[in-house]
Amino acid sequence: MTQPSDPKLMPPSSPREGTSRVGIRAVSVYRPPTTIDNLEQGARLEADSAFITHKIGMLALTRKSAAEDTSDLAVAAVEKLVSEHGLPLAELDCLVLVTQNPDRAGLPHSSAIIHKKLELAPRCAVFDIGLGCSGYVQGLSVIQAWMSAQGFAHGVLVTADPYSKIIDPTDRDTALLFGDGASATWIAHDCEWHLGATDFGTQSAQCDALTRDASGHLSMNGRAVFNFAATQVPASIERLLAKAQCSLDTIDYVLLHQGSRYIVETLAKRIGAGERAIFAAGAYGNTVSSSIPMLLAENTPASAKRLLLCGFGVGLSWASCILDRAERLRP
Amino acid sequence: MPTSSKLRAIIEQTVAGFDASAMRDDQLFRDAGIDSLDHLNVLLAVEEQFGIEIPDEDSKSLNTLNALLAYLAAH
Repeated sequence: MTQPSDPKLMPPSSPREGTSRVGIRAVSVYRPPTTIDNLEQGARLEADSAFITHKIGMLALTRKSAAEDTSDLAVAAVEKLVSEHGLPLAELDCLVLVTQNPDRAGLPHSSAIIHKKLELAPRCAVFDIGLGCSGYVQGLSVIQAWMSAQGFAHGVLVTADPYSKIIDPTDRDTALLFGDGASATWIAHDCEWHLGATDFGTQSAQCDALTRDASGHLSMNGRAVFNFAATQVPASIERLLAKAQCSLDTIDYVLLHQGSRYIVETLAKRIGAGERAIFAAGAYGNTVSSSIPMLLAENTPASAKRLLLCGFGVGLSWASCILDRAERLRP
Repeated sequence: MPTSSKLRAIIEQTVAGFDASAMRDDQLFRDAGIDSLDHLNVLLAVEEQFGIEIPDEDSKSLNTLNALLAYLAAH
């Protein structure tokens, strides 16, 4: 069999000796500079300002420009991974995008559009994952497993799901929650975090609780989503800890999907995490699958050694995992 | 057996910092300071405590202690 002459088609580099597991090496985030004042928006929608401040918790919501599409937010996040952490674009073996609001109704897949915009090598494989708020954790599991199976050395997991594309600005139930943003996570052998135990699931009987209505706008049954989160997240975390054979006491921080301040506080109380469950989305909103990587990149102290992540939402689905700091696992 | 005092206890356990002792049995939750999210949380706690499921179509009308007690008695 003849070898390909184009160096861009050469097979990926071999994993380093003694480091066969890929993990999270770095995370970068991108948020558009434009924001909506959520109290002003709330006043127009006749929503109580104290409710927005103390229960929803989002005082500003980021908004992409009309000229930006999902792939542009994704590209911006990847470019930050290059400038902030030295991601070697030319060596990328794969890029996986988590979104349910792709460019051009999903054809071609937006990861291919990102591939073009970043001028990635032809041998760099890309695909989209159609998940919402549980997408980061599920995406981590998928890209790690795929990279390990294929012997890939460098991959990027991108989340970019700008709900401003589908929000009805007159719907008080949804318009006050969501912000636009993206994240890019470098997956490699020389890493900072290893993926540990996981727990996934779907409560599809209520898949209509978060959907798009006939007009194409986001439609949410708030009660169904709240009840789902309040009951399934604690159950998932209990199973996860049993699988990992550890207790919540060993977890330094709990990174929950930032649906609202109220759901984070409710879950923190139900699982007994207290202040270890961080709420930090007040200045930008619920960024869907980007909410957890934003916490990972911006709100996780350097002293943290073990994290518990849980994304939950559209599907209705959940995904929980434990991340261990790489140095914690060294003998 | 559901009672007004049991429901008040559930509300106090569910709604952070809330004193349910001063609520009238016929007082609307929102007038007592229980907002829409707390209302959802209270209904979930009632479902879990009493082992029932409250359909969405019934939930909005369960907005006083009396209404909840009557519903629990009937289900």
